[in-house]
Amino acid sequence: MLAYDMASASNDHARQITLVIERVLQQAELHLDQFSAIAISSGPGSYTGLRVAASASKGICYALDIPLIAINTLISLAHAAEQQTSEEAVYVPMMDARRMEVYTAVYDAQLKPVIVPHARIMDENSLQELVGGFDVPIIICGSGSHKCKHLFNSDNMLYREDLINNAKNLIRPAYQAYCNDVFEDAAYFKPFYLKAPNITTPKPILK
Amino acid sequence: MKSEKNLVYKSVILAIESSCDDTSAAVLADRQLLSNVVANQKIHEKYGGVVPEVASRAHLEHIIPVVDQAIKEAKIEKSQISAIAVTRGPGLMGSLLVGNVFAKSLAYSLGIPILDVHHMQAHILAHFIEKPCPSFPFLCLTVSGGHTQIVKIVNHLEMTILGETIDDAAGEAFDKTGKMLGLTYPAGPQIDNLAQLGKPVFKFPEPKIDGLNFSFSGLKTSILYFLKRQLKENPEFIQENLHDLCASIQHRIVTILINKLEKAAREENIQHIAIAGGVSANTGLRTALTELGKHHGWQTYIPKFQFCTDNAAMIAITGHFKYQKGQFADQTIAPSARMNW
Repeated sequence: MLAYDMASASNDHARQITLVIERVLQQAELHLDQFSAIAISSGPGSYTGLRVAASASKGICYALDIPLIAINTLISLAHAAEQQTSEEAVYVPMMDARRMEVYTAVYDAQLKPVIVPHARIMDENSLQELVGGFDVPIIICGSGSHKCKHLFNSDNMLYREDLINNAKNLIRPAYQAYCNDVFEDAAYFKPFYLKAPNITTPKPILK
Repeated sequence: MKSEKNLVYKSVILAIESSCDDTSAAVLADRQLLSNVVANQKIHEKYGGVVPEVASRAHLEHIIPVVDQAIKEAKIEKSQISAIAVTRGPGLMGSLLVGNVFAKSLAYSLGIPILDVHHMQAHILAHFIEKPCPSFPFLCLTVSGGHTQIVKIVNHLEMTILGETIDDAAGEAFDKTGKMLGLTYPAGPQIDNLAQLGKPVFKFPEPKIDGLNFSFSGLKTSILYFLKRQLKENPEFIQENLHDLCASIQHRIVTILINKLEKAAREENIQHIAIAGGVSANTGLRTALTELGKHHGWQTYIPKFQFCTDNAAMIAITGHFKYQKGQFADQTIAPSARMNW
């Protein structure tokens, strides 16, 4: 990895995105036209965040005619956890959603999905459904992991709340995708929102 | 042959508009409109209004195909673009965000400047896409689903709001009263069509609002209570009187608008009068302005239908004037839902 940067001002992604890209380019002493591909988080995540990354990468891919790589946010967290774990383990990344809800999935030691990404309201039972039955260490990581720390704890469960989403986590899975020619069609790419928009159908005003 | 011709352009502006539910891109070269592509989102009709999250998602899927089509129709190469003009606001945040971030990253990647455009100023400057253009100073009544303003335009980039709505916009009044009549969203164009089959026999009050400001919420309520009263006596009242109801509602909204415009023209002593925005496509408003113009000897300006509703051509022409003046934005800009002038 040649360069890394992050702007932590919340609700300011739209302003920051090209500024952060410019800073990492300068750090890495690279020019934009040296890029071979752009990798982004496909989701799940905040709709606005996903849209900013997708809009920005669409602009760059379209301008430079380079391919787009999209990596599921949960698998990228699992990659980060796997890289920091020496023994065989199961990985349960969790991203903070609303209230007691998280976006989560379960990956085995080879990072193959055991339970695919989904939204889940955390309580003792739902956590048990996710991680029960494994005799290897269970690594629970991500911004949503704190929501279940108090719910359930056993000797083979390790909470890694320090492992959260960032662009570094994308590098390994993105490079694998690049080597295997796994690209998105930038023109029609849509993020993995996981949920349909919350809409109520209109009622007639009169009668 | 093609490339030789293209080389002579002094400035090529790519414009992007994504403030509400239409994704649009246009190319303007040396003040000549080469393309203007609009992708509508029909999906909102079944929800009775624009759903912001649905609109944002659709913009993201439309943005490259729409921009690419605008560039291809203009027969230019991406490398010929001099600057990218984009609607920075006002509008729906999620929708604006897609256009702004895409425009920023495209401009950044092509190494060209950004021109940030105010959506309501662009509606007015749509009058400069094609000739004849208004002479300065002129007044413009800008009416859409989100705005109702009377603006005094001193030159292309210098304008003052003389009056505006204190509650609902005129387009909102059309859509909301149309909803009461059981019409689907957007109800404005349907009211316009049905009004032509009826007469304005039902009288609704004109609000008394100071100065050049507007109000439409009281009208909306009085129409609602009127309909409720009538429906008690005759449950078929709306169906039996739909044409006359539409004609009456349209007549009242249009007279509210026109009376204030007449007042503004008198106070400012200006004879050049224009309308702009989505509601300027309304036949009743277009006819009323033409007639009043004849009566007062005004020179009136009514935009072509395709430049009334949201489009990127108006963003391109606004971008053109800013480009001429060197009024560039930089990569630090962010979309603004409630952008000031």
